[in-house]
Amino acid sequence: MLGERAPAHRHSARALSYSRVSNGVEMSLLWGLLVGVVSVAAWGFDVMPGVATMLGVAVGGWALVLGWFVLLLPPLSLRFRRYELTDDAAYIQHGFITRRRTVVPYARIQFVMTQRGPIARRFGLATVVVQTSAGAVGIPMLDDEVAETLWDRLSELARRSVDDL
Amino acid sequence: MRSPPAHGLSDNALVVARIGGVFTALSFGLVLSIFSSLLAFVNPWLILVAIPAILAPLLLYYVVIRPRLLVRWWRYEVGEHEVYLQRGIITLERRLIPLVRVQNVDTSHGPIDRRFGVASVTISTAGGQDAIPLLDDAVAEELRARINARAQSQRSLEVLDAG
Repeated sequence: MLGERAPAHRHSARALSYSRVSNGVEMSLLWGLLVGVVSVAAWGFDVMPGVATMLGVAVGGWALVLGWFVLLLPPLSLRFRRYELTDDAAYIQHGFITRRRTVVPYARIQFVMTQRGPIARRFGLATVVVQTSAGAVGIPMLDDEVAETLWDRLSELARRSVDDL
Repeated sequence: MRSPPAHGLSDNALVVARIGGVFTALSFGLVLSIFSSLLAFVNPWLILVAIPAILAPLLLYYVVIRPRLLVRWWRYEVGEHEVYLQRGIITLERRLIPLVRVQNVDTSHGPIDRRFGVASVTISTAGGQDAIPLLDDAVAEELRARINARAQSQRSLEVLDAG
């Protein structure tokens, strides 16, 4: 059925710019929070370094975080993302250090959902999530229309597939 | 794009969500206030600043912001083959739960719910539970009965097909 072949379909053409923007926003917020907490702790324990040192570490660290999460990571992690609907299962590939291929038989799907975060909505993108009794598998960064079609199709396949159990 | 589900929550939903939010904010606030009482070792007057500084944002979120966001997107509909749910606070989520996969459906009324005549309907599948909150009592009971009946008839159709 599957063999050595990778799944046929890829994410949206806008996925790369979307993941750069959303990683950038999320990681900047996290970095800001970390800097804030560390500064307050340093002030509390009376070990405040000079203003120049603090600014240097905060801005330098931010640049490193953005370099990794905005410039390097998105193209790498998108490279292997693929999905396909076969005769009896959803076939999904993801990961870039460890490449993973997941097969979810339609008969084991409990329900299917779409998710759209605030940044994804501006890019017209959506994630399709397939829930089984063992956990959830997501197919992220699809064009809105593609996601809707896939959602409908998967839901229909799920309800039509009778489990042998 | 598929249109949103047909029905929204009860007219009382916003009020009940806000009252529930007061309790949520106070219970989180209580825990944080106990920790902040350690500040008394530094300066006893700091507690008077710390407790309002902790409670104000919690109350703002759980009483003012979150209830409005919750009621904005929560919608549901029972179709021929699926239960269709839309929900979300920040991320918009839409679910189609095939009726053949529904295990059981229940209604529940919390203490605040009872005073306002609202209830929630919980739909369980092997993949987890979904609770539709803040529905009028009568609507919730009717919904539970309807989902149960449809799920049962879908399952028996499935058995016929398989046989």
